[in-house]
Amino acid sequence: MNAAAGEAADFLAFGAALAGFVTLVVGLLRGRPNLVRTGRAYTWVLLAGAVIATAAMQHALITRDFSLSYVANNDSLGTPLLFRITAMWSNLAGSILLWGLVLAGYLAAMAVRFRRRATDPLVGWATVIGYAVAAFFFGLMLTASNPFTTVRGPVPLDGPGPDPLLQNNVLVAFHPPFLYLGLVGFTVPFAFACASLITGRVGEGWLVEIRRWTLLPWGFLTFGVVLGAWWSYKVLGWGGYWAWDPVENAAFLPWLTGTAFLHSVMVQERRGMLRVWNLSLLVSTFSLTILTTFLTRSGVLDSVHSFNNTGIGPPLLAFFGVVVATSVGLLAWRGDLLRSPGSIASPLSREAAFLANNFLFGAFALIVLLGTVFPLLVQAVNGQQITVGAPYFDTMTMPIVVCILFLMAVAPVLPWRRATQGLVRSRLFWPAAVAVATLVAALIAGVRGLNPLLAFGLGAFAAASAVRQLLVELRRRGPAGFTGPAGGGMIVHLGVVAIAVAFAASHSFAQQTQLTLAEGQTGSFAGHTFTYLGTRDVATSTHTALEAVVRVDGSGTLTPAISDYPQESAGIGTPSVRSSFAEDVYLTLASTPPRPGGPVVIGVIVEPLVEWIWAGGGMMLAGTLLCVWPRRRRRRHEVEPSPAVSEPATVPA
Amino acid sequence: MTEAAAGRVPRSRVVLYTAIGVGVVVAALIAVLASSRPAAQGSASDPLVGQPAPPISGPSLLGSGRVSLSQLRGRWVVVNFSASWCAPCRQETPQLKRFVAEHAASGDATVLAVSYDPADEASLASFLKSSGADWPAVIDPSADVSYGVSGIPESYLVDPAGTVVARFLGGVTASEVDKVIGKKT
Amino acid sequence: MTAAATPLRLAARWLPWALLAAVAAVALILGAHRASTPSLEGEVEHIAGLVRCPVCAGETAAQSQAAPSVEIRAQIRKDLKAGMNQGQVLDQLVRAYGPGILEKPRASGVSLVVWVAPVVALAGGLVVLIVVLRRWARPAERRSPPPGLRVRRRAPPAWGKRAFSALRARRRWLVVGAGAAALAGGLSWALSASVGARAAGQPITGVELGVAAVQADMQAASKDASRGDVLGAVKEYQKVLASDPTDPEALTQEGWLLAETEQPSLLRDGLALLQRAEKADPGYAPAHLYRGVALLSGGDYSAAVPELQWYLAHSPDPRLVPQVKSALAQARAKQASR
Repeated sequence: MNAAAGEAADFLAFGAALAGFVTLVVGLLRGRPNLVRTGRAYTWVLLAGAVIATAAMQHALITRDFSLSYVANNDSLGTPLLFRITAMWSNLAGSILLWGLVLAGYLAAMAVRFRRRATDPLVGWATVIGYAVAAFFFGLMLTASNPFTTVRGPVPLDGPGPDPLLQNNVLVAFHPPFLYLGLVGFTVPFAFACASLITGRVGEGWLVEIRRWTLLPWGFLTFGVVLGAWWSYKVLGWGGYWAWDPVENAAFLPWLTGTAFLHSVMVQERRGMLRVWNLSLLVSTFSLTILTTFLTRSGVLDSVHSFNNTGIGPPLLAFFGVVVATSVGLLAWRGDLLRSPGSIASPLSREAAFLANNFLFGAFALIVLLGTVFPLLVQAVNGQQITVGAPYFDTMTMPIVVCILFLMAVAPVLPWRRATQGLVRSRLFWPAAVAVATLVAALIAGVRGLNPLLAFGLGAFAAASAVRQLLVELRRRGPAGFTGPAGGGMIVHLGVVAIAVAFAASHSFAQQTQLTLAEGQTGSFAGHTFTYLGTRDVATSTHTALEAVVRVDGSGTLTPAISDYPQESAGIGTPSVRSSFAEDVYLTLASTPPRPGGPVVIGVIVEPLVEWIWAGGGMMLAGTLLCVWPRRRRRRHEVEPSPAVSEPATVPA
Repeated sequence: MTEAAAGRVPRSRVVLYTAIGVGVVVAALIAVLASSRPAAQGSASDPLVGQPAPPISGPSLLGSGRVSLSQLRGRWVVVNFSASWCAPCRQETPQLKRFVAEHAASGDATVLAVSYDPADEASLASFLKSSGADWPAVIDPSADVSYGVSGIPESYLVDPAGTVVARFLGGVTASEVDKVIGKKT
Repeated sequence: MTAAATPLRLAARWLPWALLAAVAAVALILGAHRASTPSLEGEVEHIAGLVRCPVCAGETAAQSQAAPSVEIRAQIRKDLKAGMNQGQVLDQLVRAYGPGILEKPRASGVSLVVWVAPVVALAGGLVVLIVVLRRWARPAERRSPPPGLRVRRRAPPAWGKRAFSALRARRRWLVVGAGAAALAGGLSWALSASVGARAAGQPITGVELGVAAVQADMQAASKDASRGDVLGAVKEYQKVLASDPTDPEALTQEGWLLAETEQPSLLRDGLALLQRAEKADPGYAPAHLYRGVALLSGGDYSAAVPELQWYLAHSPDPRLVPQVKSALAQARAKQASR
């Protein structure tokens, strides 16, 4: 029943996407507003299909309908309700279904938002592109990655459940949905970019209108990436949160180009410049989403998180080819129309700072992309197997991160068009003083090493300058000063600084050891004491675990464990963490006692400032939401950019 | 659109050429990606083949005294990394026995078992004894690093002059080894 | 601001900045060099962080607790004690494992590209950036037209018919573009399908390993098995599994061969394979039968009963039914006698 309903709903959604695509294209080309309206209405059919398919899958997972292969392979009688629900994205076919659902949701939201302009060709063509993308993904669900295939032969009575790593932390319920809200969300700006090229309306109007449609996915993606790091930290047990793994890079690459776009689009909004560049950034963001989905889901790259799965490689690669060919073709075709008026008068201006930002983020993205695919390139050239791992990325991106931090300090205080030296001097003096004071304080506190000192100093510089801008905004606009790019954007910046500082600190000052402790014995490391109290067996409906009970610093206990899942031959380590604002104590059970009551080996990692990363991620999401917070007083047509308007921000001396 | 722009500004080619350049690069990338092999099947590189065999020496696993690879110079040696918990290692033992038996008369070849897992030495010793393995076995924890062992069972064939001539991933058979020896002599 | 910049004023204006810069520079110089020479363990940790764990995905030899990583750390320690430097230690590892062992590719040969390309691209980008900025900056005053003159090159295509007709004129282009896009997609699909020869489970599917080839392997394996050559048979089945790790038949056969040996550890492996076979195709009856029998011989009667029952309930081979029934009775009896 579930399978039939799900498959039918998939088919419905696929059909709706195709029909909508054809109807809209015909309507737009022939100039028939009625056809255009009809074509747009298919959005609702598409959404209904996606919702029914998801409901069928959820129903099957929750009621454990093992007649579906997906359920039989990713669910079990013992799996608790939460992880039965999240099982939908614990494997490839279900993730694609989630992708489809999110996409249908975005298209429906688009239809609602632009309902009064249904026959506007720009909106029409954007919807066409949206339908094309939807048709691809729902087509994938009907062919290469069908979540509703049924098992051959008799229905099994039980299944193995989701991958053990995907059923022992509640973050699994949040990380993938946020990630998909982000990645899929970039489809809408991409669709509008293509539509503006197709219709030739490359002016700035559409950019302003879809500004929120770019900001929101970006915020979700940011939050999703941070949640992913948190999940690795809590589950994988090596004390790290970011390993430059291909799957991590896959989400990070669109984030980088998306970030570049969010900044440079402000130049276009205000000055009408950089049109080709901005469109290219949107196109790259979406293409990178598809490319990295291919890289991580087709099994060409080895990864901790890899899904190795069948058949999805060629269609994804082909889709990537189509996306790039279409958008690059459109850009080349319209290139002449895109030549922008206006110019940047001074290198000491906000425009120039945004250009520098784009340069840095572009370089960052290039390094990450090259490092990720380089092993494949080398293998294609001479068959040699090489590895490009974290040390490469750390070395290459460190200078760029330092430059970005510096730019984050300087750029927000720069006015549009042109700044005088005196203005910059007066605006930056206190932030610079704070930076130097922080640097000296860090030095006195015993921080050594160029990288962490630079990160702390420049981080303080950037944070102080963000706080300064926030205060200016608050004085000018009252509590509303927290909203908009000038307010929310600075909160995002503060979040970035928190994460950068935490990365530098935890990278440079993490301490790690292994303690072999007999029962009752106490060991000490990095200023903490660890008393091993004994082990205890824990059994749940899904697994059994051996927990070591360790008292830390004489109060409170941590329980690192090794869990045995029936479907996994090797035991799975589960770390136990005590977090505080200043540092985390991270324990793993490195080896179980050789005999009952025997000594255990406890892995101890003491890492400073890790909490700041999660806090920074929360700040970035909050800041993004404040950015898109609706402003009451301004009407849309007033936002129409006019180069004659100069920056009103005057500085209180 | 050309008409629209004509007469005002000459059509800019920069975007067009850039687009063509980007298209070419992306096409090349797609070609590489489409032809790349999945990571899981990556061919093992054999950097040691053709090189002098790294020394192995240490206490004997089965008896007393020391065993080393150099003692066996002048014979073909199958250096066999093994552990008792590894099922395919157990499966290949009869093949190794056959190999040793075939060459027993001429005395031109033997096997050197190397314990892979320090925690497993005792059980590997008892397994080898119980399965009647009559070749030397050695405890040398550094050998798997100097040979670059990526997983067991893994074996290397060392020629009488002490050069590595082949690497076998997974269980090895007597005929496989003999084929290599036949080719080299 | 526009006041004449006498040296004195200039100095007064920049003095606080000069002070800040000086303090920052001194602090960085003082803090940059780490006081103590790194300890041996610190150095081992550092070098192991540059080396991949040979048997795990995504971990360095410094992070991993797998046996080879522990061994690599021991080797590094030994080499350092013997007076080798970092380069020599890494060289040694590359000689054994190949260049893939290094997390940071060497800056030589093809790998040089990964280091040089970003720098070249960065430099190129910087040059473009500077050229563009200069071109903009020079005639800025002359060029930037008053706001009123900044008209769009094309009249904004209003909604409705006008825009539609403008589009119709470009239909030719759209058709050509769509054709090119379809061609590109088709080509990349065809390419990826024709080049990669791999089967289910080993993605970018491409052409599946021919059914004939798999069948040949299976035949060879069953021939080996009938000759009593267990190892040969297992190898053939593993060949099948390499091309399709979820082939229930090969999983079942290999699992049964291992279980049949009745050595405890092999029995365990065999049972695991049989379980994988059941997972791969829950409806494949022989997997249930063999697993039931293997469990029975392994003494796990309570687990054997449902397997055998399952077999009897689903598509049993009539010739085997009496035997299975007696096995089931035996299992039940043993279970009861516990």
